[in-house]
Amino acid sequence: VTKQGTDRRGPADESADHPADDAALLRAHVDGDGEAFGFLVRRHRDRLWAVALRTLGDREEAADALQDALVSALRAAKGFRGDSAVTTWLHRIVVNACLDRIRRRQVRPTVPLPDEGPGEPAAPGDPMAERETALMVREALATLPAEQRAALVLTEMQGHSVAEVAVMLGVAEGTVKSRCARARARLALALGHLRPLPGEPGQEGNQGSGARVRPENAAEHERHHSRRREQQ
Amino acid sequence: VSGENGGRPLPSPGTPPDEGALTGVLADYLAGLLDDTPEGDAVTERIAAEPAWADAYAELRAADAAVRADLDRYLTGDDALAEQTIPDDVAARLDSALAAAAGTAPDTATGDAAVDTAAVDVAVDTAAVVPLDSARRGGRSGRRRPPRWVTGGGAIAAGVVVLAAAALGAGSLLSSQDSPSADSAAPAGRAEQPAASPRTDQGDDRGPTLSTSATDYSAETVGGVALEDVAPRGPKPVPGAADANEYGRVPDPRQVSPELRRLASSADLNSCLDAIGGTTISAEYASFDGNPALIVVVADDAAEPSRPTRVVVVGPDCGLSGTDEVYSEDVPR
Repeated sequence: VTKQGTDRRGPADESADHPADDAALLRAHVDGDGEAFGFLVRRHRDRLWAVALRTLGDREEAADALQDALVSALRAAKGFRGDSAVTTWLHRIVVNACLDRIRRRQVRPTVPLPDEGPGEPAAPGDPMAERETALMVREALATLPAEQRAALVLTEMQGHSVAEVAVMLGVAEGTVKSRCARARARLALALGHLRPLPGEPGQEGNQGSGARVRPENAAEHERHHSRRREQQ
Repeated sequence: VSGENGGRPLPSPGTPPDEGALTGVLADYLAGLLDDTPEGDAVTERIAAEPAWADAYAELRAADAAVRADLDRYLTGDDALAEQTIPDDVAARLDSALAAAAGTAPDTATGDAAVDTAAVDVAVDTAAVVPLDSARRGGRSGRRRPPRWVTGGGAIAAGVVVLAAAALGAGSLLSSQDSPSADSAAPAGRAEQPAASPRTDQGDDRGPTLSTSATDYSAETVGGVALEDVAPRGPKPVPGAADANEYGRVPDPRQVSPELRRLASSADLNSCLDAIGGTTISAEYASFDGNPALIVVVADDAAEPSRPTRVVVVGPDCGLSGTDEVYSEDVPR
């Protein structure tokens, strides 16, 4: 029985007979065990939630996406053939649901507010700076193209391997690495770690006006640059 | 190995790197993704020869380290840790939705009695069919009327649409991992999927699957669309429906490329689909060979209204006088 399952007793406890691993639970679900999928979800939902929240940047959207995705997974479980780990499969479904929402709505992710209010006890160290970093990182993440954000969230924030993420996103490993590298470069701009480039009005720099390719969110960048400058 | 914009040429010699180069080729280069490639060699040369490139690279390198530090700092903060735990209300809603989808009673062990069943019902429908979450948020879906083309055309088993959309995300794993054998693997799973209680009293759940995408199809790739409709592959829910605009399930025109906007009105879409004939299984607002186009999958056999027989690519003038057909191909049985 899984840790998550130990608080369940009664008929449901026949899951004690299931091997505890994910694949066995999924098989049990397909074979009609009405509890198995719930166990599986409870085992992984925290991580899946974090992925959805960070990819979508909006609590309600993330909740909807997670729910849609897992209901889909429940229904599609018969088609799972074990070519990847169950967790990889679940992540892929959740990430796809998130990316799909973003594409469908063509909305920019909003900046999620932390669940606790500003009056909460602060962390040791430099709480104000930490809060400020958190806010800025969230805002910067929101400026990334969705695919880059998903790659970054899954690898650098959730700790999955590039190979796993490649399967989750359905792209080559090199593409995952590239999305992450480019995401960090964009974050560097959004967070003010990179000097605005030549050609930018009102900026230092003497190289004249190079052929500048403005990203879609250049205005966003501007906002962040000026913010960071104000703070300095 | 290089990134998705890897084909973008370097700015010409003597031109300082622009932001596109900084967040593109230089980022890839820094990550080592261009090692031992001609493109990487070209970047090395530029960095060696042009101070602007050398500066940009050095700054990017330092900034990359700073970004990593920011991310680390963020990830160890309380806010980020809080994000790692699903909130109780979300978990309760999820449990209820899963229980409802599984056809079991809501899980009283972890469920939240405050989750009303109406919300659960809608939630299940949302997952199974189309984004109807506006309904859950008190949206206007209750007043939504099925557009004419939904009720007027050949009857499509509600289950088809339900099944196609039920694969939201899930199917994409099945097929892209099994790409050569997707047609044998995925439909099997699909055939087994329980049709989520078709609500025959509501037109919303019937009719073609409409979607928008940024996909640029070609004659080589467009046939895969029909496969997607057979084997639920990519997530292809109806866009814009969440906003329940006056056209019901027609995409929000703002989500459609300007050239195709006319076809985002139900009347014009109706004319277009009528001109194409058959029973429409799906229509995707995408592009073909670089031009905005509607990709329509049609079933011509009235006895099998869910079996695609044709993929028809039409241009923006579809339905004005004819179909404005750009391309079509038959779907092998």
